[in-house]
Amino acid sequence: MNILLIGSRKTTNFLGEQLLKGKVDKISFVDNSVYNYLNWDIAHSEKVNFFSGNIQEINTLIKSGLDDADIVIVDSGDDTSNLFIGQKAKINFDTIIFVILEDLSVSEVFESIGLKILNSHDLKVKKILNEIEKF
Amino acid sequence: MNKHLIINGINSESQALYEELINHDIDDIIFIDPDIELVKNLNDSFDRIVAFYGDSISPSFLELVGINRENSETIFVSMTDSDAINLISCEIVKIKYQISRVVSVVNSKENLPLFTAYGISDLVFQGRSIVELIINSAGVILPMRLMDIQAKGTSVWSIKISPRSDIIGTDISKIKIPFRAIILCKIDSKGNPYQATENIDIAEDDTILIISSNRNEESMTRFFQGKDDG
Repeated sequence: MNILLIGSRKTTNFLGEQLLKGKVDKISFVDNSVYNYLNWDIAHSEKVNFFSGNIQEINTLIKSGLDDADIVIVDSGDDTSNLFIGQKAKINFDTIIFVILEDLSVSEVFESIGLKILNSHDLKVKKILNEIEKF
Repeated sequence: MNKHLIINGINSESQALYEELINHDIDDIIFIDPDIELVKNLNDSFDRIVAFYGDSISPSFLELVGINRENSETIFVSMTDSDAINLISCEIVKIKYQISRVVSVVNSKENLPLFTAYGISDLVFQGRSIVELIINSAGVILPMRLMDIQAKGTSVWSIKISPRSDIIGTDISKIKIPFRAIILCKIDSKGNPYQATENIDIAEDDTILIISSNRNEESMTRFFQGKDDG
């Protein structure tokens, strides 16, 4: 089970910590800069890798392990960027894409095209763990 | 039925479009933009309100500016310099409000397949033809879409192998493509077809037939031309 986490916010760190407790082989993090990752405790885990580059470009995502990822979680910044990157990341039909949104008013639009939406104000890690359990 | 236009993004191109449309007697047009200064400056140059300040991915704002106005057909044109804003706003308009007249500018060629894959097909990318000409003259040949698999966002593609491709000399049956794709066959320079399972090397001027998502057009170009700067 490989997970690609796009972003470096506090919520991204929290998700990484929670997911590492589960049956995960590798977690890759990518953002425009690795600066935020420097002080994260999980940086010491052998299962964790960090990458940087323009996360709106497919090259960066592929170099960060997109093609091997079973699950992608996008938590990079504003809702527009997250939704855009989430769609861009769906290069394989069976990759599960979670997108974290501040404003859920458009969530049904993007769930209808295959994205799984998480509420940033009430992050349900269980929803991701349930998907991991299916593998 | 009456028609009205909502232009997402205030910039020189969208204002030039506005002038052009006014000259064609299409005058029920408003601009929307998240930059309050741009909105204020534009409104100051007119004797009426033509621009509204707000977030183009907010349904309540879109409704406020008349996205679902009754007895009038909405035409939504997204012209910002952000492909993320253009794509997401167009999808909301198209899917949530069932607006069929949706036009978008695409700023990066890499994103063209993404827009078409999600049903935003009226696209303006003025640089495309000239960019293709330049790229082709430089020896990189872009994939050609032969057939759409309807409603799947997937197509059958033809890719000609250029002389500078890094994949020349690779056994076609052993190719590992770093995105989801099925190689159907190769056709050599004399027109002879070979199955993708045969142990035969890829050569210059071969044509490879592939099934893959439309979103992978850029990745296909990069992989088969073997140039990161392609």
